[in-house]
Amino acid sequence: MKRFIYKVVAFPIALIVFFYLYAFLGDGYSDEYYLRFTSPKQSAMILGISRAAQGIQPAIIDSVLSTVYPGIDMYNFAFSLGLSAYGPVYYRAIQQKLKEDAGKGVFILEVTPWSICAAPANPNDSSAFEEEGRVLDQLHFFNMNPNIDYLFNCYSSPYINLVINKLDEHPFSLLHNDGWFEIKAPMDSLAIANRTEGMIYLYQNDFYPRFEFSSKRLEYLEATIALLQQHGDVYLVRLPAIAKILQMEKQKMPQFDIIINTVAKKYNVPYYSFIDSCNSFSYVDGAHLEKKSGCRVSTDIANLIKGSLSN
Amino acid sequence: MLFNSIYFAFFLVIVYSLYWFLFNKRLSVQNCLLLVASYVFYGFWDWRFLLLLCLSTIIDYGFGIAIYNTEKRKKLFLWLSIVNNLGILGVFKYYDFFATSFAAFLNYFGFHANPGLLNIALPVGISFYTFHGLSYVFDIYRNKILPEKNFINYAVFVCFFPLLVAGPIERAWHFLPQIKQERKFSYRKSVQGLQLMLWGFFKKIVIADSLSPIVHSIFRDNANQPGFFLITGVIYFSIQIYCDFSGYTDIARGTAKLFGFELLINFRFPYFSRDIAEFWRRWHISLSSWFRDYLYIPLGGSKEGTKKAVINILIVFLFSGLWHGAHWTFIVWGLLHALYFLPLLLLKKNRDNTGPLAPHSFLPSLRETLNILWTYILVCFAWIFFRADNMTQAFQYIKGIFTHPFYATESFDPPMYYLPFIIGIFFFVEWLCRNHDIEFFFFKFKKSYTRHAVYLFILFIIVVFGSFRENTFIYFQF
Repeated sequence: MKRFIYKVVAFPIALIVFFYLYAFLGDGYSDEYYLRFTSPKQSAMILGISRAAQGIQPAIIDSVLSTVYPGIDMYNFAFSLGLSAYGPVYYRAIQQKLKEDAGKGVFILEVTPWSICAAPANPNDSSAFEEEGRVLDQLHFFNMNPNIDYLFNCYSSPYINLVINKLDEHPFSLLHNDGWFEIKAPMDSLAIANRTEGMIYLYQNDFYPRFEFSSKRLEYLEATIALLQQHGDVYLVRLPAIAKILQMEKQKMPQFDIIINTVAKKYNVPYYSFIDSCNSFSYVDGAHLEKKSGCRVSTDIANLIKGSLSN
Repeated sequence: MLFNSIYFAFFLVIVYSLYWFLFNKRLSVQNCLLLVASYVFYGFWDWRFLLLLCLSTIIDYGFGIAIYNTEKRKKLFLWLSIVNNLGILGVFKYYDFFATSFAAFLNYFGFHANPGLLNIALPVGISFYTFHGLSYVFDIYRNKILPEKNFINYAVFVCFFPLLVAGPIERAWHFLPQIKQERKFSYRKSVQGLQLMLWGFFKKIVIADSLSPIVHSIFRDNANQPGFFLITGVIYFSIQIYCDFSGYTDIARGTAKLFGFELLINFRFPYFSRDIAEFWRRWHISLSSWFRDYLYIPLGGSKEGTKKAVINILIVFLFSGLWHGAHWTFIVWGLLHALYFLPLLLLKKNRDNTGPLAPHSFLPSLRETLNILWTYILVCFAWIFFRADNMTQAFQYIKGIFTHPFYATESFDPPMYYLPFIIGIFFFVEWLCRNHDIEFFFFKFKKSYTRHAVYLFILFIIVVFGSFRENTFIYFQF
């Protein structure tokens, strides 16, 4: 019986070692989140929902701001509306990812009406927020490479996808090492029109009727600003989208800019809104900036920050 | 508790350790442990249904003794037991179906009927453990076995955790003696057990669970799928259900072996069957043999003339379909198999293919190949009804195969395009073992280190290609 037990124990050990080594093969093609949880703690971050995840490129910001923030190394830690609207879950995730003793950091917080709205019957019931029970809520370790916690609890595909997606000649997306989520979808006008139509449908039929302003989320936005101000400079940014979507946002929360301006004043942080120049950018699907436009917006944000520092 | 969950791994380690290291001195204590473990295992789903399981066990235990102790009221007690078991099944599984169907029937003739439905959840494994109980009292009634005096032994027979929720449907003459016999640790048996479990997990986690979302999306959107995808969908479902159910059985048999038990074999590579009769000797054997022994033969089998034999076959397949679930789709599935089977019976060809398959050559003969292929097509056609949500969807699916464009021009981006290769390897291994059990494959590797390398390789395949979403087993719903 001893022989049997020894052998039975040996196999799981071999398996654990194999899996641990195999997990190192995970990269930006593995999925849209994994890499964000394998990187170390960060002192300069871009936060928000998918518009920021896809639209703000850390490398561009770094290149412009390196003169005013020497050694700056921005990291995009924005996810999606279902995961990273401002609230207790995202707040805890930011705390976990934040490098606290790194000197002066930079934090760009993307704000939209949706990131301070919620879908439950009572929009201030944080226990019913969409992100509850999902990736950021489930995860215990945010800075571990390989992140076994994520792979065990959150990675829903077969583990072969950790490596196999990179063999795809035309991958749909790539998560860069700096956290920027690049969409590599076809950009011909027909493809864009189809995706935009789908996105408008989603906003009209799902987000717009379901979401309502949540003062709880606004509280957490303020708490996030207060937390990050202890570790560096905070900037609020509203990214552009196509006019039809912005119109819906205006209808949903006509007071949005007033609310954010009030928060900005309260915490003495700058607020940059790009919605007035929405027509000068191009989009992957109407809501998310296309790569080149993202590059432009990132440069503009960095220049505005730089300008604010020199004033 | 699912076999493919981390809880089961911990559960198994704990029960196994207690069983062999702490309670190995006394058989009765080991059996008590198995009973408690089985109740914990079952209670993980819904502890309330444990009461039903206990009640069913106590009643059949009592009827078993009552039938044996009386000659006068033997039949009465048998019928009471049947009514009790089928009553439980009827209330929990069939009442809503028959009430709805009867109301629809009345409505069709202009009578307005509004059936009061129970809408109660179906207890997991109810069809399996009631069939355990039924076979036990039938066998006592027919003087094939003596009733079990020890309640613990009987309760372990009914609810031994590896087979409790999806079989194999054990027989008292086969399993009770094992419960009463002192068990000694056997290295070889334990290794065989782990081999079976490994193969079962491979089938379930790598193949069945990977195919599940593909099959689901093809059936759900069948109205928009080209014919080729619809055919792929039903082929994939045939593989999914086989790997899911036989995977469960392998894990169950393997787990039982770890505790020193042998369970009935439930599958013998059914997709290599050369006719439908052979298919039913290879697919869900414990159920088909149950129906044969306790329904077909008592009805007279084929010994009372052709007409009676035909009716008996129709009844058996009708019940076989109904056993799977209270839906018209299952009934049609059963009757289709009856239609496939009847020509063989009438032409007295139903026992033509009882011998081994391609025993002297690696490949089957052309005739065997064509027969296997034809049988597989028939089985797949019936699976459409089995998998469809309702009859309308089943007919729409079949119609789509013939009327939709065969292939869509837009790029077909099959998710998990490695799957056909894995399935190919899987069937190759199954073919190697076609006249044996899966252990035959593992012991083909004579040197222990090559065998260990094969185990490790399969483990790696499971980890890398497996789907770990704790998908439940299809047959749990029955």
